[in-house]
Amino acid sequence: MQANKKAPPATQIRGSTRSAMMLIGALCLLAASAAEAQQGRFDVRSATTGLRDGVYYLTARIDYRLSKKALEALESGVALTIQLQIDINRNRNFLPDTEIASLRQDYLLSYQPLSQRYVVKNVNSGEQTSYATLFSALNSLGRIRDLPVIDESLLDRKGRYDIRVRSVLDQNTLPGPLRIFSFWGNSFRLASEWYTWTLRE
Amino acid sequence: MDLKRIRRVLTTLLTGAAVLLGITAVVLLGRTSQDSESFGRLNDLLLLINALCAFVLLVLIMGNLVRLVNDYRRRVPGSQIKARILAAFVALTVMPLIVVWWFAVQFLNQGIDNWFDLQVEEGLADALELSRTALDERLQDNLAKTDAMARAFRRAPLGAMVPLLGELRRETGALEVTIFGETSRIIATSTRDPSSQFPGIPPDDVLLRLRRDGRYVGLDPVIGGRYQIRAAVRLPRTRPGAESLTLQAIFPLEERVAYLADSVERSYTRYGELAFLREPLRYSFTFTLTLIVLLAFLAAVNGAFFFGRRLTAPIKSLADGTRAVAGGDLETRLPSSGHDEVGFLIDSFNEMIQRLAEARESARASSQQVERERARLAAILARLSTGVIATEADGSIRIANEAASAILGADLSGSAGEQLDALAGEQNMLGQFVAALREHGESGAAEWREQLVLRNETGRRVLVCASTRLPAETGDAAGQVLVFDDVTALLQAQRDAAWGEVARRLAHEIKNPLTPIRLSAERIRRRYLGQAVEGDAEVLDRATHTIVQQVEAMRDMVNAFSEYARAPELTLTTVDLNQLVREVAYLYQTRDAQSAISLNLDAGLGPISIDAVRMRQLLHNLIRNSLEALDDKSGAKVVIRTGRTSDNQSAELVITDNGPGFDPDTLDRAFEPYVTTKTKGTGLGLAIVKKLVEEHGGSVTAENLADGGARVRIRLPQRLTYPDGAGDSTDRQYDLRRERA
Repeated sequence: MQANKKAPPATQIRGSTRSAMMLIGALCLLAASAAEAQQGRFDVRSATTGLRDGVYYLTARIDYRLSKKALEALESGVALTIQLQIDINRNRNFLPDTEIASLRQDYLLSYQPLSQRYVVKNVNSGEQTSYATLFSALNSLGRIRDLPVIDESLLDRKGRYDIRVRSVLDQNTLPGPLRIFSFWGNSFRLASEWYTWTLRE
Repeated sequence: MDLKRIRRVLTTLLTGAAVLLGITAVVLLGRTSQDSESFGRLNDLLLLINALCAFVLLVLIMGNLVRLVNDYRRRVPGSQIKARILAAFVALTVMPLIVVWWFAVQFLNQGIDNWFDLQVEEGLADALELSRTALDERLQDNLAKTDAMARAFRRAPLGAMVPLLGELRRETGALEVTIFGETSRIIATSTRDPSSQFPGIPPDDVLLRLRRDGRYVGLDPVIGGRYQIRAAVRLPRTRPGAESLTLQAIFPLEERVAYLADSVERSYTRYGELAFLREPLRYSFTFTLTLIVLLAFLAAVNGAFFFGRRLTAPIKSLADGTRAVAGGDLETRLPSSGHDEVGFLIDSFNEMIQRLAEARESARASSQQVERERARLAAILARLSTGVIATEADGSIRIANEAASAILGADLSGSAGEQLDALAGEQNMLGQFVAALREHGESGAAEWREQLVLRNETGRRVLVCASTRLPAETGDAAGQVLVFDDVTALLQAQRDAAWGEVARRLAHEIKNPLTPIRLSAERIRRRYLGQAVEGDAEVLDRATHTIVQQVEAMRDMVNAFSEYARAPELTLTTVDLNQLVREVAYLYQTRDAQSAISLNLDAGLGPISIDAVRMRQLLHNLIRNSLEALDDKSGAKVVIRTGRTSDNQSAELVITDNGPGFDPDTLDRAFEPYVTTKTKGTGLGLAIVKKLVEEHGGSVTAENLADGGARVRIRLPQRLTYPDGAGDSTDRQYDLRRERA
């Protein structure tokens, strides 16, 4: 008597495969998100400029996610400097663009263990604000409202200008040993992509 | 400066610069590791410099290594020593460096770990907690004050709110009291600092807590690192729908408390930062140390190459120099390499080459001197009339001059190195000469002198020979030098001179008494012949007749001697020798018809300058000598031939007869007086012939023919030919007189 081993139906195979692929996909996403959580990320969500009283003001929304190592350093007492970089370039036909203005806005993010608050200090103005949570501090950092960028009088009336903005974790202000450590790793190499738009047609 | 030197200097400079830069960069790196600010500024640059240094050193090492391997394979002098030096350097460097690096890393790690102590950590945490607790009381107290102010506001009329705000601020000791509306709108504020234009707006999280709990109190960090206390409570609405108000009061911390809290927090933060930086610190120190060790190792290896090159360069130089000297180049001089042992060796080498060059130059000068002496000796030997032969110990000819060849009748020129015995086999006179030498050689005498008599077809040659053994150059055997001279002519001249003297004395001593003897004999005959008796008269007649006859004979003999001894001056005239021969021969052909004198005269001989009278006498003597030798022999034949010698330098006169020839024993003395085998004649005929020929500067030889008969050959020098017959006769006479003298 011969036993016949029936092959599983095709639909069943397809169903198993799909499940496996979904599982693998989910695991990949999970691993990716875990890796992202490990690595951190800066991302310029939106940025616009508005002209008011002859001055261009920047309004931007930046998403800050610190890496695990950066977060650990922050909570261990290492102050992190986050730099907002703004460049204004003039577009020229058949010639390379020229940079006519460059603005660097430094923010010092630190943790106060006694008050258990996160302090954000505008290095340029000296103004500082404390927050009960890191989320609040980063959220506050990520909201750029009406930051004066350039005086309109400095721009040529017929010129076409682009503006770009990005945010980076300034490694130069890290403690020395951490700099060598960060030289070989990505934990402290946090920077967003340039977000570029037209300042004026 | 050649390319090789430029490359070496460049490599050395590059190595030195790389090492110096590397050390500087490493020192800076070590120092900046402790200083965050400068580290941040210079870190990238220093790392770049160090990496660059390491790369440069690595490239140099690789280049040197490749060159060393190539040199080693090609067995370039010094490469093996260089490889050993490199291996020793690397071995001596690597092990200590690894040990030092290992212990340093361990020491650093342990040192860093020792910085952190669990009890200290807990103590700091406790101190922080204590600070929080202490501050919490103050927070609650200030919150209570804020509550009290809120209650006071609740009771106060709206118009008195602002004055009350200032009053409450002063009463409570607050720095700032502010009433906010919704959306953080400032309604009223009172502050201690008049310069502060805007009160501190509560952050979002404070507003959130206020909305949730209705009150808030907390420490608020301020610029400068200190704290202040922020307390806020929500005021109840005065009427429904009215704006919700919030009272916020900012209180200062007491100076002492603020200082202590700040100190505790700073220490805690600093410790936490250090704890966090423990691993990066280890990593940083280990990295710096590794970089230092790596650079030190690379520098040491480069140094090994450098010192290896410095040490082996003189050796290579010496090898090159030795090779050049072996190739014959003694102009090579090695550059001095200092005052150490190698430098001493090179200086000694240079001195040795200098001495070798001087010795070679001296040897060359000596060789040239020897060559000059040899050439001078050869020239002297060539011009010597004395024969000189130098032989080696084995009997081979070392040198032989032209005179030796001429005397021995053998061509010895170009026979250097050939055995004298081998050459002697085909040479008659040379064979006799060698035989005589062999006898002396067997006797073993170092020096000998002997007069050798050699014979050839033309007669005998007398040689005076002396031999001396040459000083031995090596070993016992040595060659000898033979000096010999042909004294045949000298002896003949001496003999001729003696005969001349005899003839002269005969002519003088004998001729004079002959006339008185004859006259006396004739007087005796005339006076006493008639008076003598018959028997006596006959005796007297016969005796006086004999005396007169013998006196006449003696007169003839004396005249002949006189003729022989006479040395009149020649009177040279241009004469056709052939014609002269014809005239003299004709006399004899007429007188003796039976004698067959045939002439074989060279028509192209031409006239020559001779003394015709004496030449006629010479021909008479020769023809008479031949006829007397033939002695009326039937079939007698005399042939007179004239012509030129093969070198066309002399005229030749040859008289040949088919008589009995000369006596072989006296052939070599045929031209001496009284050497004759004939019964007729005076015995002076050929002697006079020889004398006449020599007066004309010629030569005469006599020989026997193989098939019987004799031949007399006379050679008269062509230089006596004067076609015009004038001008130089005086010179000729002088020359001839001189030759006779």
